Amino acid sequence: MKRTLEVLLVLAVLGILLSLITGPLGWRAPTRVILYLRLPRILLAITAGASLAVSGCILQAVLRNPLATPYTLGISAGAGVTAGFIILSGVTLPVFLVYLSGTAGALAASTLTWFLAGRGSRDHSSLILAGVTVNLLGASVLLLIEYMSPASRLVEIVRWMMGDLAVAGYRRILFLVPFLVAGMIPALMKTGTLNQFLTGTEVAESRGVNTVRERLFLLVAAAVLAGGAVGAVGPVGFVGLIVPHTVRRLAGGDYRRLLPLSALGGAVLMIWADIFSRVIITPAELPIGVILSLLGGPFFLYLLVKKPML
Amino acid sequence: MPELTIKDLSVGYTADSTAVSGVSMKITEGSVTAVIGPNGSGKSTFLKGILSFPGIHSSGLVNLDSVDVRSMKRTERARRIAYLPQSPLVPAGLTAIETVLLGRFPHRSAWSNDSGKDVEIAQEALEMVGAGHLSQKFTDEMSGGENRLVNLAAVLSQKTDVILLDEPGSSLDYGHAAQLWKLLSDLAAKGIIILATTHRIEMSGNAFDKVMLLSEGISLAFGEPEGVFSSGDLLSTVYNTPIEVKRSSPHGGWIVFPGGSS
Repeated sequence: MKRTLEVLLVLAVLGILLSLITGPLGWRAPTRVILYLRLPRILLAITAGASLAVSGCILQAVLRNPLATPYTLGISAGAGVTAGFIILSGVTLPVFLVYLSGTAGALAASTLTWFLAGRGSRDHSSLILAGVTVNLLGASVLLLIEYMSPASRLVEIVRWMMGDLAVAGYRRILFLVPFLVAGMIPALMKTGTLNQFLTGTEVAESRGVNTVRERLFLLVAAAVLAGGAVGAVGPVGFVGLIVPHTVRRLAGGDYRRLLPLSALGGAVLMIWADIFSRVIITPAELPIGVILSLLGGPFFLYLLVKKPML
Repeated sequence: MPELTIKDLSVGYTADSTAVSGVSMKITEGSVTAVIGPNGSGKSTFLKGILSFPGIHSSGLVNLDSVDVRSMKRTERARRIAYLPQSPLVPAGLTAIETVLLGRFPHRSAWSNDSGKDVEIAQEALEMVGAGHLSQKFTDEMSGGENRLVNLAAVLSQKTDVILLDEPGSSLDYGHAAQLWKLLSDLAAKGIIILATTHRIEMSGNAFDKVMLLSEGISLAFGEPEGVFSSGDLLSTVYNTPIEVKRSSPHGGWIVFPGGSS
């Protein structure tokens, strides 16, 4: 564990330093650019990356599925539909409300997943099936919105779906912090319970875990974390899949180590993905979602070959 | 000494179905009870009904020391009753000792680290099942039998008065199976009540003190092994084949003769 922590810390520090000097004028950029453009961007990458990684980590244990990600609960579809509606309507909302609408859509979709799964016993398979259903419904509605959108708005919707870390100032980070705190603290307090979920519902129950209540509690924490991140940076994928699996291989499966290390790993991945997104076609930028999807595809292949650990 | 009373326990997987009907038993001292019966007779469901897991519908009385088990707080119940399912999930990326330490969960807070005492208890449990040497090995690198031993050790590390085991001897070789049943017998001598389902009576030697025979969810016999096994006709009817169960010697282990001994 110590070695993994050291490696992640080194990567984080290197990434932060490199990110601070990446961009037009490099390290000679004015202090204002560094303080109001680059530093907030790094902080946003850290908070969103940590949120998405921890959210995925929680869901893999609670749903007992190595391929579970924040989007298994329908979060991506929910956020996409609300963002699509707002962009299509052409309404100009205050920035805070734009972020909040993405989060609200994500949380609404998770809630719908929970209630649909209630037709069964809300065990891990019912929740996954309900999440797939909500994702498919959301994707269909989003397709309809895109079909009905004029070309200029269609570009906006597609661009939003690809994720965006470009910020000026600290408003987006301040928006995300309450979600980060509200999701991360309960998750860190429940690492022992998450370990019990790995042994299956019956054994966890026999060891004193109220699996129905704790599953709901942890799903809410995961949805809050992912919902906040999606509201702030758009529905970027794969962080919640790549990071927990990599950390699991390096530091073992005990959630008391895995969860905090995944938070750090998520931050590191987002910082470095952001650096690449800014340098690959410089002076233009690639959306961060493109970089993460390019990583995510081969990672699925890696999981296919190595068999995912859970 | 703990006292376990089960009265008219009926268990089903939906509100209007029953897989186990009206089972009653009273155990007033440390003992090993073998729950036997053909496939689908309700043995596993019976154990699940005792703990009334989510998704299980059960009625009737389950009292431990005159306290209704279902009214106990979960943590309190987990400190008194441990359970090992037939096919427990094996968490990946954990060593054997870390897996056993999961059994200490009811004795500490959800986020605290394992104390020195917890580690000591877990290591002792691994030694008891003959798997002390596996302590630092990762569970995903172990065989099915080795994982079975580690899961048994996790149950023992829970330090409870009652232990419910679903097919504890499955995947174990002759040596480890004999060691397991001897261990259960020793634990019973210390006052622990053990209910273990099994298909392999002959693997348990002379370890169990009582037998319950289940068929189609109904308890057809409960008592001393001699009494239950003396009725060859009952066993033959239940298993749908001529069957005899005899001791190898006056105080020896049990031998099963499917098809009859003659």
